[in-house]
Amino acid sequence: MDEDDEDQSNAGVSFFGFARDLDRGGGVADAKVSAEIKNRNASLVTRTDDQGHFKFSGFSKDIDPKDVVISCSKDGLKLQRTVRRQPPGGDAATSIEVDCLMVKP
Amino acid sequence: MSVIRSTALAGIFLSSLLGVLLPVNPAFAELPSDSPNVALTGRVTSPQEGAMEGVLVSAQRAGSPITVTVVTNQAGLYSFPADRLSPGKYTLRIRAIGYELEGPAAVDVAAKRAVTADLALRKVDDISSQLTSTEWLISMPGGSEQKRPLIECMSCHTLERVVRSKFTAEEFVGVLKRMANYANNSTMQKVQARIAEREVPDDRARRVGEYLATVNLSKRDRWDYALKTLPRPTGAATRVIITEYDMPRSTIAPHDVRTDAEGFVWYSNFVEPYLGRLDPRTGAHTEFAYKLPKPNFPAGALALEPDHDGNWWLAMMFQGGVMKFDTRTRTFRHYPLPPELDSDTAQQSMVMPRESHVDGKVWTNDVNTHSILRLDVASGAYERVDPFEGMPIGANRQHSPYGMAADKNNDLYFMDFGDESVGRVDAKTFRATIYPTPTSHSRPRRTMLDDKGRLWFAEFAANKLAMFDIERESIKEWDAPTPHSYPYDVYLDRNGELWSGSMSDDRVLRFDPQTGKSIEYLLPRQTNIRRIFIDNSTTPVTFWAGNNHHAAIIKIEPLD
Repeated sequence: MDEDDEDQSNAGVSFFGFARDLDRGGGVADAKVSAEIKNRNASLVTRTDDQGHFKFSGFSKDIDPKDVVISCSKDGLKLQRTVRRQPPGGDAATSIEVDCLMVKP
Repeated sequence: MSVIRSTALAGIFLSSLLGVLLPVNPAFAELPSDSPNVALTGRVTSPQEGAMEGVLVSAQRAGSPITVTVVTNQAGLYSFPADRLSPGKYTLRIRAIGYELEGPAAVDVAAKRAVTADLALRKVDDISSQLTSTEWLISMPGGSEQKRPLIECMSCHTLERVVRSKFTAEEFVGVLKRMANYANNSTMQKVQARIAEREVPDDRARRVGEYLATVNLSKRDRWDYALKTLPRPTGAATRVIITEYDMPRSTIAPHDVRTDAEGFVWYSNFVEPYLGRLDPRTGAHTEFAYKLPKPNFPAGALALEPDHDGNWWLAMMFQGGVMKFDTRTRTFRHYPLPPELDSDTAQQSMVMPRESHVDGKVWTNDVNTHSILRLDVASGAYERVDPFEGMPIGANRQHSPYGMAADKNNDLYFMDFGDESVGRVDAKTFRATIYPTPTSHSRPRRTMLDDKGRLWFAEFAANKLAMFDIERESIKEWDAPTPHSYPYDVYLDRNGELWSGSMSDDRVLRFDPQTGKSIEYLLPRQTNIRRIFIDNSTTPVTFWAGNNHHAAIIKIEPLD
């Protein structure tokens, strides 16, 4: 019950998705995924799991999802483009799906 | 500014210990030993098991603050090396879950010959007083989310206090609110109230209280769940010598413990205004006193870290700012927070001066504002960094920079103890990069940076050990072998083995990340471990930690 356990209901949008290998098909495991926030001196970095999946959960409400730029990198591949979509049945205010489409350089 | 209080520890407890020294057990027989290197040996048995492996046997000489512990092997034999027990009258005690000595045990250790003392154990009628907090958590019914709030209780006391209580769910609401207003740097020997009142939402206190009332004695005379225990040590876990150095006052709370190049052991006192130093060769204890910057606020310092020149820096908790102890002049210098950063809730728990020679800057944190501060040593000015501006945050989540390490450029790496990330702050640009751990809500706690650019850390709430590879920007995790052990800190030794300690299970973990194999050394008594340290200058390496709640410093020497 110390200060590290206090509630703060300030949850904003989450980002999740896959890094996909367009040449071989399937997910890209252990790819570096960055979430850059425009006009903020900060970024988030994670890595994809064995299936190529990643997730950044709950940015604060004061972050406009348009200001979050997701990118992926992996040795031996380059990022061709990212695709954003609202997940089926999902709420754009709470979650956005982003796929990193990667190809051989 | 400093006041030196030095005490030759030997003799402090002489009068009190002589008063309670127990008679020699008639079962003991002094026998010649084949080995001149043995001072005291014997076999531990019980009617139920015969020869018992994994029983801790501790010997404390009358008047000495030093207790030496060894562990019985597969044949039930224990053996104290001759260089660890000087001649004299010793009290013996044991630790073996479910057992106690049949009677008082004391023995005279002689010079140049071994003494044999066989020890007979009997089953205890009531095992509950022997359970660790981890064993209570394993025993209690309920899910992880219900049990997790209990890990906060262990900052000040074991969970035995909780499960023996008779508070109803409603009564717990008041208790939990009262507990929240004690300072983090409180022990049962020295309780300190916060200056600024903290609110705990009624619904959350009620939710926790309702669960606690199902596991305590509010509705029953005896727990209606089975009391489960962890196994005794076996094999490699029995090949160890543990030395405990009692402090001269029960109120001393060693938090961070580190050795210096001269072999002294230094520690931060979590609840009193002293920097402590132990000479493990003689047991001599010295305290360096500093004036409290804010006398009405809770006393004590948390993090203790050396700078490049071997001076010590203390994070001053509710006293505000950081303190430098110049080891050459033996004087303190306090770096207070400026008024715009200071408040009744300002709290500096961490300090990182290791690479301050690079740019003249020392990192610290402010728990209250969940931010990072950087001190310019020359001017005394602080800069504030919010590495989580716009970062993920939500219900039941908040950020709290905690354990710190610095690379050769004095870039900062920190643990987000409030949530689930490792963070980096660039020393030149203050740009922050946040790396979430694979396990959510892991609450990384303390950390160390090795010479290969790997950050090793404890995931307190996730019950895992972890490593952040700075170059690859990737995190790897390993489960702690014992559930509900909640590791506080880790330290990688020169052999590539990872050591860890916790507040809850009275065990020290030695873990090989290459093989996944682990050894857990059981400690002789209830031990609340915080920061740990490995002295790599010895062979084998030596483990050091403080017993934060019981005024002792602990040394572990594996017998590899």
